[in-house]
Amino acid sequence: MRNSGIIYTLGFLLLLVACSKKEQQAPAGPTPVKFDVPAGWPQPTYNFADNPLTKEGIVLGRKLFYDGILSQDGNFPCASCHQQVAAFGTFDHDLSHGFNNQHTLRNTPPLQNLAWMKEFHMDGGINHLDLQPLAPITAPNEMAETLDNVLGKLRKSTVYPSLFRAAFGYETINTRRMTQALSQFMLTMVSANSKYDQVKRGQATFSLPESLGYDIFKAKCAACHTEPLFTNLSYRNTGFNMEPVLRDSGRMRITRLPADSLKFKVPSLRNVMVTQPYAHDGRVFDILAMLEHYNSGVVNGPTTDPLVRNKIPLSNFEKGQLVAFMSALTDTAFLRNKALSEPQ
Amino acid sequence: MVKIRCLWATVGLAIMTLAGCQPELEGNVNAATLRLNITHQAGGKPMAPGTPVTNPHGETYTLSIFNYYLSNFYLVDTRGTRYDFKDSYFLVKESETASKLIELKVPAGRYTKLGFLIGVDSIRNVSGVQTGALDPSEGMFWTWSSGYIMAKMEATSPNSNQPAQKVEYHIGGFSGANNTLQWVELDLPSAAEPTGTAISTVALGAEANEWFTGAVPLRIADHANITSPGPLAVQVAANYANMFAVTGVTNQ
Repeated sequence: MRNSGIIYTLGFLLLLVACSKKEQQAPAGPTPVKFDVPAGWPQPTYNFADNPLTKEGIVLGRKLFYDGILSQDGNFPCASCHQQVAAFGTFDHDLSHGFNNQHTLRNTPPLQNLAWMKEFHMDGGINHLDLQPLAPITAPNEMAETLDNVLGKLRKSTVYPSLFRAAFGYETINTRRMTQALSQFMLTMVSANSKYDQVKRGQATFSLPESLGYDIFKAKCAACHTEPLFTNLSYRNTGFNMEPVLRDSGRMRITRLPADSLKFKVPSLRNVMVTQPYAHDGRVFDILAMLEHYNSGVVNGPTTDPLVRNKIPLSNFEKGQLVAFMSALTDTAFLRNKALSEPQ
Repeated sequence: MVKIRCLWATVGLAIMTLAGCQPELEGNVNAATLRLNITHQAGGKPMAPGTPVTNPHGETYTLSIFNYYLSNFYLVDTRGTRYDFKDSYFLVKESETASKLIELKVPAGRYTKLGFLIGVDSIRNVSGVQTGALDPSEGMFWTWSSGYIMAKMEATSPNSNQPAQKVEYHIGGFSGANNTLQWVELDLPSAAEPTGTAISTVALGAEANEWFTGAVPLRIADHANITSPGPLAVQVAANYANMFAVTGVTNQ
């Protein structure tokens, strides 16, 4: 008994000595999780040093992602628009539905491979993944909540304070911790196991239509939908005229430069076959119509991209092969990954 | 034994929290205190939200919100040496008395100039979600186009053409031509001499009417609503950069 008393005293003194400038961690810290960069991919843009992935952080982020507590009336969790079956876009909807029977401005973008994104929203208005959730949470036509209210509800909850402590060492609930947890979960939404990826790794072989489609893709699409992310993250006007009710000028809303009018971020083609409808406002309802847009529907304006200004001629034969190739970008393991689904 | 263990853990935590982890106290580098006592004025009178004021263009406005960030403070001493206080970010709100008293831990010295940035430097605009005064829940952050609202004035005015006669100036933008960050450097009328025992207090006045005058005057009738980055915001920021004046220094 006496000996253990001395040991605890020494341990306590050691703790004092070890005390550093950094914020104190609870004795049993969260469990680190390694982020795997798929072979051949670039290094992620996200700075994991600022927000290291942990098992507990991901658990918290997943719970927040699926919890209506982040919305004013409880009905609009992140997952109400970001549905796993549609690669975390909204299944079969042009615009999504938000608070009080309102439509969103744009088609919900799928959530995948976010660690490699530099900017968020189709207009690129958001410069950091951690900041992204603040937009839908506070948008009056989406989750329609205030950050103060969200934080207040989380602090009063019977479950969240302990989840925050597990994830970050302390029960403190602030905007940064909430959004860092959401980021941790969303960063695990990596889609890199489609048939295309398996072919690249030498684990599968393209069928003839897929292979022919890949060649057409490389010749006619890859300048913007660049591998391996299938987007070069640039902003382009692909020849859609301005929708007269939404009057969405895209990138120009952020930069205010007329040269950016009607430009939107190039979306990834990964899982493209499950993310219909297409285009920034979902006005194109299926993939063949989207290909036909490039073949014949491009509307030229002052900012229409040079790459589509003369249209992209595609025969029916080529369209079929492109669809075969794009179907090989569907990542079923991602769409069905239980670790990403609503926690039970 | 379990009880003793718990006791030690509790005592340990308490001591660490209270005393164990105060950074950089040793050496007493920043052992002196410089206090900024900020007073807001509107139309030459103490600011009184809810009371109509007249701006230099003869337009009447009734303030409801008057907030701004001050950051990156520095002092210049009598030898011309500059001391920067990098991690100093403060959100000043007319509605919160405590926010108008800013304390800086500084080295003891004789200072003749005070400088700061109105707004939040670009680095903190591009580094994810910040905490404390910079927490986006303070309502001074644009969620749809990342960046801080550096200064915010809301009012009503019969000269406004907006619904409910609203006047909303949310001034921000941190990059390129849309940069609204404004450095301010003020000469102190007498030296601020904080020591280990004497606190130096600088009385700093800020006049709301200055938002409306400057190189490009701002008339409510022309622009009652400026709520995004751009040339108008830049002009207003250049105007309000002149709103500060040091009215006195006391050392005691």
